[in-house]
Amino acid sequence: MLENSIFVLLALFLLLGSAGMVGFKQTLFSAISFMMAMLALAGMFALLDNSFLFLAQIMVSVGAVVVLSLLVIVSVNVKEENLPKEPAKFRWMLFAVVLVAPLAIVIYKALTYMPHTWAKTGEGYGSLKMMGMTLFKDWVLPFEIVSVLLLAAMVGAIVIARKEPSNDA
Amino acid sequence: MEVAYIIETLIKIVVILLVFSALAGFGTYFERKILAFMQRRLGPMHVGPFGLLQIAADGIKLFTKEDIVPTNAVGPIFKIAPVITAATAFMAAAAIPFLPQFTIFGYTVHPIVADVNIGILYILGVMAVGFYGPLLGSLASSNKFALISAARAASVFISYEVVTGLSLLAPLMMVGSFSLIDFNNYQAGGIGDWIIWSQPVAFVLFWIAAFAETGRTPFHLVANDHEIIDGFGTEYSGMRWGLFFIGEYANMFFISFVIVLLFLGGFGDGSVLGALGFLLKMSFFFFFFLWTRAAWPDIRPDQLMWLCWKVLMPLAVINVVVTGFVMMF
Repeated sequence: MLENSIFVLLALFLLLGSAGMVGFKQTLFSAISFMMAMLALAGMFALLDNSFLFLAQIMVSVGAVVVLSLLVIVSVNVKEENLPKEPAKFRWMLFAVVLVAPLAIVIYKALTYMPHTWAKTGEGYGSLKMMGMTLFKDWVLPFEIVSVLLLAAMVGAIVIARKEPSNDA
Repeated sequence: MEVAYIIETLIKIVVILLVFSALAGFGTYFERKILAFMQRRLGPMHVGPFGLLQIAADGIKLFTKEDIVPTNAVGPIFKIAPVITAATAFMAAAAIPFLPQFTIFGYTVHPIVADVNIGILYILGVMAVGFYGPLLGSLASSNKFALISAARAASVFISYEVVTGLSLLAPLMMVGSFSLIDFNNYQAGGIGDWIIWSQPVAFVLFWIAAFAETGRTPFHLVANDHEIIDGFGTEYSGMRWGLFFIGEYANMFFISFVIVLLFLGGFGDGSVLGALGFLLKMSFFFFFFLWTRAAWPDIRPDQLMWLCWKVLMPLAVINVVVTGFVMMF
């Protein structure tokens, strides 16, 4: 029972954070809502007894991704009056909610029709060893392909951000 | 059993909170005294014998000062930021064994709040969250100097987190565990077993990164008094500002504990001598933080980035690869 209430609480934070991320006008609040959502997601991993994913989520998403977005907010330094006017923002959000509602219903139906037997977790579930074995033995090819993708993205970002060499130099 | 466990944990938490809050106060006293002696001054002398009551005077001052929240500041975030720094600093202490286990009145006490099997990751993760204190505080105070401080804080913390993680990877590969107690037991055989001898590069890298993580000189750019006033602390006053300091000094103490546990044998076999040696080693690393502040100038932000990405990170990666090869063959 305790697990369920914790799950509900975490889900609430996750939803509130995600809604705040979209809804707030001030970028600082958006970033903090995003952080809240990420922390709630980490809590979900902890609830699944996967301690490594829990901490990796905190270190990567909270410790790096959100800090980077805050860094962007600092360097851009947007003033309130320079933000684009969005008078019908919440109407659009409501429209989006209506749009995805059928999908949500489909997912809910699919989940409720699933058999109520839970997959048994093997010995040492959530341990580092299991994570490492899964990642570097069973799924090593997808893992490496993703790292190549990240490398390509990094090279692209550097090329875009690089200054053009001036002609007289 | 269950109730006894909860009571024991609560007592431990309270003891750690009290001891390290007090030590943070004493830390400022030691810092002033050591800096003063190194600069041929006397330091605090007037309040109490050898200025010892200076801490109490500071505390009274901080508590009775007017608590100002600037009009343009983003109120809620401005108020919560110092709490993040202090709270996360003490949260990290949960996974640190402060002493070997001992028996008192026939009851065995483990001086660690929670011996989680991923203790090191937990400490790194909580410290990563702790960086939000200065970052959010400076972003919320709508002050130019605080804004510069926020930009510096974000870049420094992201960069040096990489060095901390990578430098720890090689010792972790050797020990094969994330628990600080396992680290301690791995080195329990005496001075020859200390990880510092097999991983000297990792030790130096982690030590350097510790200075950046706690924001101490020579990486004190986040709140560099002579350039950007007090950085994130510019708009803070009273105990809110004091909380930032408690967090900083608690962090210094905890990271000194972690360095000793990781590389210098911790409390060894758990005897009284080992425990004393543990505290002595820890005090040396704390003293070294203060010593560096007296002896070294601050470096420029671009030098800091250069040092991190072009020197320390490649070294850490090479260290991991070499360790892997040595372990394989």
